[in-house]
Amino acid sequence: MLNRTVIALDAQRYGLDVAGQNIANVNTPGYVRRSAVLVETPPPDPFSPGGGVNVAGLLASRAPLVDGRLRYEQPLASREGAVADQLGVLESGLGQAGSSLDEALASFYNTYATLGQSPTSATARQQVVVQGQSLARSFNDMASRFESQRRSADAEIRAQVTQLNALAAQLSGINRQIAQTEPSNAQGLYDQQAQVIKAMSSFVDLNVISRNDGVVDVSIGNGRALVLGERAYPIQVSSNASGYGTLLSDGAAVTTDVTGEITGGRIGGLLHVRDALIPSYTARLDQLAYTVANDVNAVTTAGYDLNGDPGVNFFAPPAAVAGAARLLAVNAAVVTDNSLVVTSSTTAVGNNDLALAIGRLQDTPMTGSTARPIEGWSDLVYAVATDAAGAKQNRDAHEEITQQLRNLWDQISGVSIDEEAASLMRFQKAYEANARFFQVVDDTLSLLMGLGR
Amino acid sequence: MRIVYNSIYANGVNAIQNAAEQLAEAQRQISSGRRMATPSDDPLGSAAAILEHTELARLQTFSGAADAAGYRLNLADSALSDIINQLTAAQTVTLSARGSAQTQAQRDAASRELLAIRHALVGDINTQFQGAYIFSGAQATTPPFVESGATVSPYQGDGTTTRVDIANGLSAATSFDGGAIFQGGDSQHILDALTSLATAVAAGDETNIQAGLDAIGRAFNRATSAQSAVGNDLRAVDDARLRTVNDRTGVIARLQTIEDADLAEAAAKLAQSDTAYQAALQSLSLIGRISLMDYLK
Repeated sequence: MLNRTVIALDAQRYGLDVAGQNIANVNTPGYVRRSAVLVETPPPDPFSPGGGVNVAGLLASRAPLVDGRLRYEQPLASREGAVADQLGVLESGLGQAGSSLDEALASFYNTYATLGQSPTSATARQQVVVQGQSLARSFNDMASRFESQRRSADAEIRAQVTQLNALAAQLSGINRQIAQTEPSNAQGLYDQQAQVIKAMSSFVDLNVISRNDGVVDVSIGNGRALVLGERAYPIQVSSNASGYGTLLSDGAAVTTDVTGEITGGRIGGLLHVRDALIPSYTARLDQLAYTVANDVNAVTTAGYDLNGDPGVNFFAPPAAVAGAARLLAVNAAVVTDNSLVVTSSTTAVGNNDLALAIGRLQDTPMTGSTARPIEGWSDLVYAVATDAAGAKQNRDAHEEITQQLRNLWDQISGVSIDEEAASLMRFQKAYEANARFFQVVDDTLSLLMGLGR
Repeated sequence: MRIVYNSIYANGVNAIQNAAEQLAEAQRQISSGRRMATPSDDPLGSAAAILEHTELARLQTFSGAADAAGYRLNLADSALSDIINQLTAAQTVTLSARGSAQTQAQRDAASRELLAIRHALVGDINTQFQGAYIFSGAQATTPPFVESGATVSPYQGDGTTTRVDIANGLSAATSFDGGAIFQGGDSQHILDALTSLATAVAAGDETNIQAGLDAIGRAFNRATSAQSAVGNDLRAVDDARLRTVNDRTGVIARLQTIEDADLAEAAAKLAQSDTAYQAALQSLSLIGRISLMDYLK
């Protein structure tokens, strides 16, 4: 009977231990609260009241459903977050209305129109050249801002892939340990496993398959393995011709380019910014620079300069739409000699019809478009702004959902200090009662021993 | 439902962050006076602001063009007034030298006076604005007429009247076709006509004196109609200035709606988010203080 009571005391102490462990890990990320499972030891014979209590094991209150939802939601939130971060930087580079590329565009046309007041004035001609150069520089700067943002997205992708690979290696290590450990002793490993998978899901969208022995397989994209049991298949990054990283996976029969398959997580968001959004903005900017330059050139080459010679291109003619913004420049000959600035459709030096015509280019749709030049720019700003605003909204919405899921997870798996305090009281009282029982049995036995004397 | 301190804490921190964010946004609007910090705060508004700023720059250019055209038109107006006065003087001189009562000396004096008037007319017609001849059409650097000794060159400008845009759909002349004003359909321009008239007056050649007076009359009519055209353009310049000022007011008002923070609203928001912020802080610190652990002895 005394022996049984010792086991009961041990069981209550075990309960205290579990509560202590829970309290110790109240702030440990991913820690799933444990509870001691006590079972009655069945009576050895029909006349016995029972065999006391026994510790059957340790129960972790896991929430696989919530874990799964979080794994689905987290990549979406992270993706939009990455897009919002990138576009936030990009849109601040667009400048304030009235002091950015819009101002350079308006100034150029207006200065050309002003030259129409006194076409022979060398000062007014020089102004046109200066404003032309300033417009070209604005285009150059904006294009290089877009380009450098694209480069920084690329650099971040590479850094994120490195972190993801480290997590994948960590997960494969945890898998190995789980495979070698008794399932009942592996609760801590399961916590770590869930925590690593959660961390990975903020980088890419994952497909997670749990095996019966607790080991998990993780794949990305179209079923490309990232972790298969105890083996990790790190993503490799190789630079393409323009220096941008291509993501390669070994987790298939042959090494496969998975760049286009990753859509979720920070990496997915960064890829979207790098490969879709910024190129589309650059294309618009290039188209604008190309059309503006060609429309002005079409007017100037149809006229005559101050010397009565046939007009030359005002802007160095762009070779192609792609790169037009980055390379836009005023014709070097015009920069050297402002008498080559064209104002007239005739050889009469005071004729200003073409200067007015260029001034009016800002009021009419550009060639091959329904938009005026300034609308070409405001449309681009609008596109960046709506993309950024959309990403911010989506990020907030997904973060709201992940926050709710985390609350749900906490409700199921989190440690409640009040609950643990109650546990402490419960097991302490039980321990006291068992100790009291021990004493009573001891007293009773002593009494029994005393009878014989 | 289990309530866990960690999620209370996380939610509390979230609430504090949201409130702090709103507080900072209200503070930013008040201190900067701007409604938007980045284009994504109001995509449509930022696109509209770009167009309005461009319109503002365009109006500025129109206003400058109206001023420049105004200077030239005023110059042309006073030159034409002078020219009309000179033509009137030429008529008076010619009429006074007419008739058999005049002595040869009087006729010679009148003839010399006509040549002096011709010289003054050349000066008026060759009026320049900042180095550009305003009666040479588009030949801004070429004087309309060159007087050398007894003769005057033919009209050296061209038939263009250059104009500049002074408002949407409004333009004003900045140079004039001197040939049309001073020669018109005549076989010789008014200056040559004055030369011939001076000769005729000296010789008492009545036929040619009459022809000269007729030429002066026609030149007078052309100059006055040119002056009334200048007057029309000057009125257009005034119209344009008025229109530009009105348009500018409209654009600035629209820009204010788009770009400027509503200070009253922002101040109210500041007070509101301040309260929310303090409440969030207080509730978290309050809830963090309560635990069953406190009652464990």
